[in-house]
Amino acid sequence: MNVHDKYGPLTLWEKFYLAPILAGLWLTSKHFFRNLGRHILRAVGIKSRAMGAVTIQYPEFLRPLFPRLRTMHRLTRREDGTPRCVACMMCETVCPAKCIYILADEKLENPQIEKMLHSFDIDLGLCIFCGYCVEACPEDAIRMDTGILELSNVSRNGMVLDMETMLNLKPDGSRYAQYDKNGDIISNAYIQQPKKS
Amino acid sequence: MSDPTRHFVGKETKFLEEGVYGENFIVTSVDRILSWARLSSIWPMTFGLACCAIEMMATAASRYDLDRFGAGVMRPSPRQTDLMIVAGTVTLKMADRIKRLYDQMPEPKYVLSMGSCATSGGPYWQHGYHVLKGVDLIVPVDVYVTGCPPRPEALIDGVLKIQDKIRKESVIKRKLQERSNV
Amino acid sequence: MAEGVGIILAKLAFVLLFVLNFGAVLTWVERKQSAVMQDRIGANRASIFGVRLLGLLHALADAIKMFTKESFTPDNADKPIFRIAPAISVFFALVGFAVIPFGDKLVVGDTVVNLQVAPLNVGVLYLFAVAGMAVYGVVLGAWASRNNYALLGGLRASAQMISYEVALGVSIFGCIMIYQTVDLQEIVRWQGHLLGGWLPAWGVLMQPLGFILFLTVGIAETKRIPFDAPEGESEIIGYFLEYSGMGFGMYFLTDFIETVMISAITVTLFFGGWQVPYLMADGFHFPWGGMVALSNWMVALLQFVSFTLKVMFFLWLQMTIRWTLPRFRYDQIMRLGWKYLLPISLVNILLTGFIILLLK
Repeated sequence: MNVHDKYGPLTLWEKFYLAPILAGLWLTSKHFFRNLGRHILRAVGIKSRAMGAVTIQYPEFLRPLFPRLRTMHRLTRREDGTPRCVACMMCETVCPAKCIYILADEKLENPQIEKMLHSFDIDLGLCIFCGYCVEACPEDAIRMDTGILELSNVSRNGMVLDMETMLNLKPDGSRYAQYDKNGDIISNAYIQQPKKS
Repeated sequence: MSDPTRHFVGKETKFLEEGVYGENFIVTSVDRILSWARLSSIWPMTFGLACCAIEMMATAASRYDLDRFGAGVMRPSPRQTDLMIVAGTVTLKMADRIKRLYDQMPEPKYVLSMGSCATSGGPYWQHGYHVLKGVDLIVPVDVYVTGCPPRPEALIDGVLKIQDKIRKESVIKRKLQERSNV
Repeated sequence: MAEGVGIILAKLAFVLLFVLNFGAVLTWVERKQSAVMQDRIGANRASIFGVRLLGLLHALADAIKMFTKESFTPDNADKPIFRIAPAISVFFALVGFAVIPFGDKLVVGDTVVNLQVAPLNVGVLYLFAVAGMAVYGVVLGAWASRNNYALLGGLRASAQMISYEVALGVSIFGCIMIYQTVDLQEIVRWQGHLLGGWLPAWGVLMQPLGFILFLTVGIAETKRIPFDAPEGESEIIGYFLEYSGMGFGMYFLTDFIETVMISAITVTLFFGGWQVPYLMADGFHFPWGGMVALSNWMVALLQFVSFTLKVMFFLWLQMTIRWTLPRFRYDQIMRLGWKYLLPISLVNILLTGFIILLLK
């Protein structure tokens, strides 16, 4: 059904478009003066909770991340320091982009664990960050909770993560949102404190 | 691994021929002024092809503002831009146009490849019969930003790396830049 | 009044500095105002030795970058015309400021300086002539690019500018009937009269319809949003498609200088120009009897400041309109200019004539 059939043709006053134009100008001018006032107040020194802009000024300020966000991968270790990964190739098989390359080695010390890693490479240039490798792993050996979002490089070869790098990454809790004991988010953790870069 | 945002950094930045002679003089070279002008006013030509274009729009919007770094004026014509952000999957049909538009950009020009698909074909590298496996097969890429799609923080970090690159390069000396990619 | 060459050159330098500074600052204002309107922070990172200046250095960086970009000329373009077309555009935008008065008389030594660069007694006609010549810069640039789409953009621009020149002229006629002169300095002096002893007779009170018409037509003539169909910007291809480096920089600057020009003409014709209410040549004469005596330099300074503030208000208004309204379609622009604005201007003339007859 045509919208013109429902509302009829425009009346003469509506054809002038003056009322919608003035309403639009009123809205933007209201935003302009409100934000300008807030900027001036903050520049003078009267700090209040109302910010003049909603911008989070990266890289000085960071937006809090949430726990299920899939960031750069890391490999976990057992209590004795050896990697948890047993080179079962589950993650390599399930990866939709086929970006994981695993070479296995024989583990001779412990008869109950047969294999260990010789090399584990993830080509981040191919990775689509789906998280299937985390879900598929039976040993909880790979996780994507490092909080590192800045994945850029000047060459394609520099984006291949190897085993040593991934074993040494730690989960960075400082970029994540803080929750209290009941599981509710702490309200003033929205804009984080400036980080030194 | 002290600073996670500088995880992949290569050489450190060194300013060219800057010295402090005596207490009241700071000498800088024209190179530095030109580089400063170039990096404070990078005008991107946004080549939004697929889903990464949505994240690029989010980066240019109010929450993460790309205009803070001077990269807010997005001109539609390639003759008036410095940086081409290839955002999204590059098909073979589009590759011809990308090469043509890259040739139409005036020097000095830079290319930022955004997303896994533009970097290396992404998940389509194995069976995608119409996908170009990485935009660096047709244009020389300066910075690769990976992710699917990369978060706005990652894209801003990529633009900051381009700014670092501009700061390091010399215009007057005309050093040949080595653009090795793969 | 025999003003020496030195004084004329000084006035010329002053006006050029004023206009070019406004044009350059407007690039910054556009980004910052749009940012504040859109709840974000605009450009604020460029800094020289740590001094940030709220992002003004980005405008300087833009200029330096445009100078050092490769200036590209297409292969089969008409090279002399291609190079000179942006210069023609900027020339005719700047030349229009020769007749805008920015103050009354200033006594320097024993010469009385009229604060207007060229005291033409056909000021308004000169402005229309300049607006007509401004089409050349656009059309020559589009034609010399040898690009079909740029040529179409240039044709759109020329058709729009020529159509709206008619409405530009006709919307002013009501004013000229009231002011009885086309000399801009005399128009501004006329607006110093007090109606009923207390209300300054500014043009907007005499001709409110003429003011709205002129502002609309002025924005259309200078191809600002919402009338920037020729310019394109990501939907249709514009006329400066093939220009890079400083050629594009000159077209970019022309846009802002013409914005300042329309603001200046609106202020001169409708808002009293340099008139401050109740300020005469020797000080304030309030209608309730008070008087504040001021020196001639002080009066001239107050007049210039008031002119500048009024121009700044109209610049803010044009920027707000630019960032609020969507773009018109091209046939809507043409229909608006010919079928609506021109007849309403003619009706305005009729009404003004009637009212003048009645009041006689």
